[in-house]
Amino acid sequence: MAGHEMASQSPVAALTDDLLAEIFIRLPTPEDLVRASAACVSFRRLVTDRSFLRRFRSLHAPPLVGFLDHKGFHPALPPHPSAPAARAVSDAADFTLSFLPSPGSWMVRDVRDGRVLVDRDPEAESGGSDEPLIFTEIAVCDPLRRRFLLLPPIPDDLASSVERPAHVHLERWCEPFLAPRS
Amino acid sequence: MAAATDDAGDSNEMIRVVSSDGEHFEMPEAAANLSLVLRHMIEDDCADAAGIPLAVVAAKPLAKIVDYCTKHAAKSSGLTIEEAEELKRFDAEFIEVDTDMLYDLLVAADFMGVEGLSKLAVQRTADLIKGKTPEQNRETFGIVNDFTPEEEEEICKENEWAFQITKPPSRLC
Repeated sequence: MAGHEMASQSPVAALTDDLLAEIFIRLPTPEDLVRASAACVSFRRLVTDRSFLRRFRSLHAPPLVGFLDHKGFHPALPPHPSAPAARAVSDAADFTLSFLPSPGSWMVRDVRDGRVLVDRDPEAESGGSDEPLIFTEIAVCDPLRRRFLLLPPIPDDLASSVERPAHVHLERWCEPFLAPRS
Repeated sequence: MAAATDDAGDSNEMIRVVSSDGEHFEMPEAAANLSLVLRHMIEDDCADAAGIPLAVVAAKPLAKIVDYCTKHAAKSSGLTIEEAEELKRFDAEFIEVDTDMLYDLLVAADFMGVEGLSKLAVQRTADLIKGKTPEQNRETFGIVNDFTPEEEEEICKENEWAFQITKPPSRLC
């Protein structure tokens, strides 16, 4: 007497992509999303869609997976809810940043949204000058995908226009940082 | 619910709708107006004594939807805290349905453009999915696992971290 004409055993899986996306977007954690996507092919296709993932990320704050300092990565540990994800990130990523040219000469300056900002004084290696550089060499790294991008140097004429800069910290003139996405 | 609700819109007229399987239902115009589709039909003077036919909504879910709209239309504006609480309790009880009915409500609310009900059903479905393993989700919703063994192994390996559910001891995937 009731009924839709659906003969299928899996009515929920037969929902339109729009409705399924509305459901998945309301899952509280990325773990829930991953597990839901592992149920069947159509769920997985929808959840791994880039525009869906962008939407999910914009609604769910990224979980804290750990801290990075000069000693390396410190993943969140149980009973922190991110501990399993943190361990996976720790295993998968290269936090020694060995993919950078001259690894070991870089200092971590900032971390944000999975990106690491590092810098170094290229002249320090070759004996260097007496005074540290005002503008260091700066790179942005993605430790998970082992990729990096060297930022273009500040042009000499612009750099030389900086007069009597003040030290911000020990021997440093500038403090580079990553700006949050607006 | 009586037809005459005091502040439920500019008319106390009853709107008739007909389910896909031929059952007739009635609800106050203010209740019907919660459905975008019905509102447009009413505005276009398509609501007559024969009733508005809803070709894809069967009697069972339609009865629920008429209930939902009637309840929400009667309490649409100027809610006291107690009334808002009561409406919340009504919603919570209303959506305690099996997965077949949940599916019907998802589809029907979406088709009829009943926004509040759509959100309620979508949230309920998300609540049923969260905290479950892929296998449990397949069981709940009668989903057939159509991955190849290779694909499944790859997904498990790639997402091992997400399958480590610490709450109930259960099979991973």
